[in-house]
Amino acid sequence: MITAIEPKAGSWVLLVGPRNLNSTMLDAIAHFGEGGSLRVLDGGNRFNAYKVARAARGRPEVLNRITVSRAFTCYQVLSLLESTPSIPVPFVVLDLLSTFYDESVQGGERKRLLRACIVHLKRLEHAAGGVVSVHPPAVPSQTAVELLCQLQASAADTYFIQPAAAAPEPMRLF
Amino acid sequence: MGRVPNTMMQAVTGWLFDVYPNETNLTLWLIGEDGKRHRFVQNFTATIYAAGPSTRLRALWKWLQAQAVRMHLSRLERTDVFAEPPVIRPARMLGSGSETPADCRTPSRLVVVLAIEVLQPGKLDGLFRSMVNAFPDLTYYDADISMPLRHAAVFGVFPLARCRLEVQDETVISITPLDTPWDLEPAAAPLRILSLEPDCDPARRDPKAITVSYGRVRYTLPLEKTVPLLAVLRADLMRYDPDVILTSWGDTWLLPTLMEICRTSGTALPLNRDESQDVVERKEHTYFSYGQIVYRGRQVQLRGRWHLDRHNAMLWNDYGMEGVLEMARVTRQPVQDAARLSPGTGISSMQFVTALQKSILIPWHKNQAERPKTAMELMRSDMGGMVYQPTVGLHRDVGGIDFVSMYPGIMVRFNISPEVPRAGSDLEPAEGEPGIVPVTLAPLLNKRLALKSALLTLQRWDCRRPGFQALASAHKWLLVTCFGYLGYKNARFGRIEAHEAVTAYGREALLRAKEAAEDLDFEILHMYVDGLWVHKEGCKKPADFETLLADISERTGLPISMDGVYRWVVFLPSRLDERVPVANRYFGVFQDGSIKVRGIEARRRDTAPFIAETQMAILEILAQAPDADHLEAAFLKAQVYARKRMEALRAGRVPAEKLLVSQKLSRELGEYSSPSPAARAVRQLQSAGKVVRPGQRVRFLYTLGKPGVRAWDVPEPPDTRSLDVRRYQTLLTRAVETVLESISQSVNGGNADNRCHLFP
Amino acid sequence: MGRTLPSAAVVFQQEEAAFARFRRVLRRADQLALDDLFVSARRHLAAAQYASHALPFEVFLLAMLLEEHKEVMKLRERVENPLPGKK
Repeated sequence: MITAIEPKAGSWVLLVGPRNLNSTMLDAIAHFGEGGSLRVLDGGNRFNAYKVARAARGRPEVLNRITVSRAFTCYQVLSLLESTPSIPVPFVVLDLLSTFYDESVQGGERKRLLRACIVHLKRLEHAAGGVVSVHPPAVPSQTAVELLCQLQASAADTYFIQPAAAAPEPMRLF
Repeated sequence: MGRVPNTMMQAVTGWLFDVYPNETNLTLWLIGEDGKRHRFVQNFTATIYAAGPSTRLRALWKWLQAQAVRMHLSRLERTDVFAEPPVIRPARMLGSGSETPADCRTPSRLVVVLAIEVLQPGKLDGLFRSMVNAFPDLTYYDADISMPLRHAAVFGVFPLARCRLEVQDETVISITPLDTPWDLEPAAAPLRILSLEPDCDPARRDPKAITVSYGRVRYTLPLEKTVPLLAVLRADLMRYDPDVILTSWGDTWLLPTLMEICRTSGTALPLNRDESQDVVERKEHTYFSYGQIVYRGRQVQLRGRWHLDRHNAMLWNDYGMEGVLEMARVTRQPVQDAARLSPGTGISSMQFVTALQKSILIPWHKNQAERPKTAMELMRSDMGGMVYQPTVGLHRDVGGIDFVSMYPGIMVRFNISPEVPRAGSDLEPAEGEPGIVPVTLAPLLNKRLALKSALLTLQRWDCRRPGFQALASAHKWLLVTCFGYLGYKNARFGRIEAHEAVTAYGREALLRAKEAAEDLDFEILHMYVDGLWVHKEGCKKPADFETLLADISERTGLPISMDGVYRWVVFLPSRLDERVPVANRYFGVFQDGSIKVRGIEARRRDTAPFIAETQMAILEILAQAPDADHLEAAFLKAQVYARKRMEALRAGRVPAEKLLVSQKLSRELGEYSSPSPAARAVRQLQSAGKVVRPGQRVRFLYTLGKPGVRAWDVPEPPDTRSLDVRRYQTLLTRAVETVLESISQSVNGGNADNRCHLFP
Repeated sequence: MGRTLPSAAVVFQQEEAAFARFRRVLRRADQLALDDLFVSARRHLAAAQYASHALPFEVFLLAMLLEEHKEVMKLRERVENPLPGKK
């Protein structure tokens, strides 16, 4: 289903889901990699290359087309976006807000950094578009909500992914 | 005619004791060679740098000129090692039209900065905070470096450095260090230490008295008689004038309590030597670090005097006061900070000093994100050290070989530093100037190696040994930390690529060592990051391994040494499935009878002392066997001992303190879906009015029924009849089996079915 | 800090768990034999880690095969050179 959401030049799309959205995102990344190069920015330290490899059935031609950079603080997320060139390669940002939930950085400062990040998302969307995934924080807070709203406001589209419905109970005989 | 100074210039020699900002400049304290404690002041300026678009810098300039702090402003170029090298600009035509040498320069990492030289160092922090609020978008450098570190970088001094000062009118005109942080046996400063001890642990019960000791004096004062208490303490502080106030629980209870008594009674205690300064109080707080919760208790620091709290000093048990002084010396942090802060902060301080001395800008925030890698490259690089699965069981005549400080050694030898570009993935030393990380580490590494050599030559009874060992311990902690720090997300001079390069070199080195060993027909029993265990028939003495060591050193370019030859060593399997080997879980006896233990109960912090002691005692008994062929007698003796210990437990003869389990509280109580034993104990503490934060350890006993635990630090003594003896028996059995099971198999001819029944 | 990818030990557990349905249908004795295979592969986690193979299970299979072959070599040795006094 997620794979139906392809990056399109001229806009970027926001996916909001639970933490296990990551697994689907990795499948999607493998899928996008089938079609050509892809640039992944990992803001949540969860880019499990093995899962992507399995989805791509281990093929090196796909795996070598997917590049990844990791950011471990919100300052690094901005730095990463700043240094990404505007070339016709679609981007995927995983867990953009994870580092922004770190309360050791002041709320106002985090919002300022996110505003700057959004400017770069707008710059990068022109060439080949992109997809950004976020999941809500473990501990809810006012600032977290505001950050999410900030992001939503500048995405072309936002999709809220529900946790997968429980598999139907197998028919019981007794 | 020249100007005649008011007083003569004087020279004073002594040990630098304290440095901190005051209203106008810096205060320095010196323990003079003359035995006097001197207080001086020194003019000092500290500079912050700001970079950004010129319009913003101009606005900042204007804003700064309106501030009520004296400063000099200037526009400069300085090196930011993380700046992307600019395109080489065409050389300016200076009239000749020919190419100037500027065209041939390698691209520099110079950035244009606004230099803000603050003339009153004490005002710098306040100014910076306002600056960041007003101009959050600019890039700042050298912003949060403490004054003592800046001072150390400028003058080459450090805590307890022997110095020669030229002073005039109590003002320091010049300061010259007479020794270095790297001296093995510097002349020791004659410190006066006054010790304050409450009569019990305040977490357990409210103390009723304090014992004061210094020199030959020792007496106890009741706490409730506050008037004589304060009077006597005051008199002692003034008469003895200690350099160090050494306490137990001084940060968390004793000093805050004394200060509260002072406040309510209206009398002051001259805790500070510098009465113009306030005592520095820092509140407790909890923070995340490496995915773990770390708790930092409250602190009380003095000015002109040191307060050290044994129970709030990192690693005090490891290396005591000598180690703390060495940490301060080598990291240049003030002693009170060096005692309390982590080795990571120590490494960071050392790097800052290096950067300041090389005029390299220290970024306020670490911004660098990773350069892009392909998914395949990530799989190749995101690994840790090489960890081999051991050959499980007992082995004889095993050589334990270790690379000496492998990761720091790699960083220095192969010039691994965040700002040093690496040529591809080739494992060769990087070209060019040594980077900040190797420059910082090299002298520390050299001192460690020199100390290790010195220790080897000292006799066992040499009184210098404990001191040297304390120093070695401090160095070890710093070196062990510097690798982790290289990859730490907030480390200014850290970078994930550098971190990964170090592990890559480490894996390569270990593999080459393995190849060297196998080429010489050694069998590899186990390998773990920077060490290997090898065996070859006929090789029983260290000399038999010389060729191998030389070969490994040659192939890897790294120093390597023998940990020792084991008479025997047991590699343990997984506790869950004994067919599955597990790394770094073993115990063995060296030829000299000493024991080495990793990963078993005795080494774990949460094991009850009775059980840990039993396990270690069993190992001591086994160590008495002269070699592996004579283990049977020792084994039987150990069995008898284990049964006695079990009987003592069953009969209730083990004191409750020895059964204490100590676990960390991993999260807030509310966050547990089903509370761990630690959480249940914390709940009991809370009912008794005691607060425990995540990251703190809590001590408790296992008890019968619900809730199954009984916190230790509550006022009422525990009911020994409610101890869950059966649970402790199970724990004891498990611990004993860990060490005796494999011995039993070896003694009984290696037949696993012949398992001995330890406790009938 | 760093470590993004799961270690070989974790990947191994995940791969083993992926065969839980297969294992369930096997007869009990066969289940134990399958467990032995997985246990034997665990001896070579370090090599699997270092290999950084895109499909780790291929390396685990190779490790299982390696251990099986060692067992065959040991048995062949015993069959061809029986200990004195045994038949």
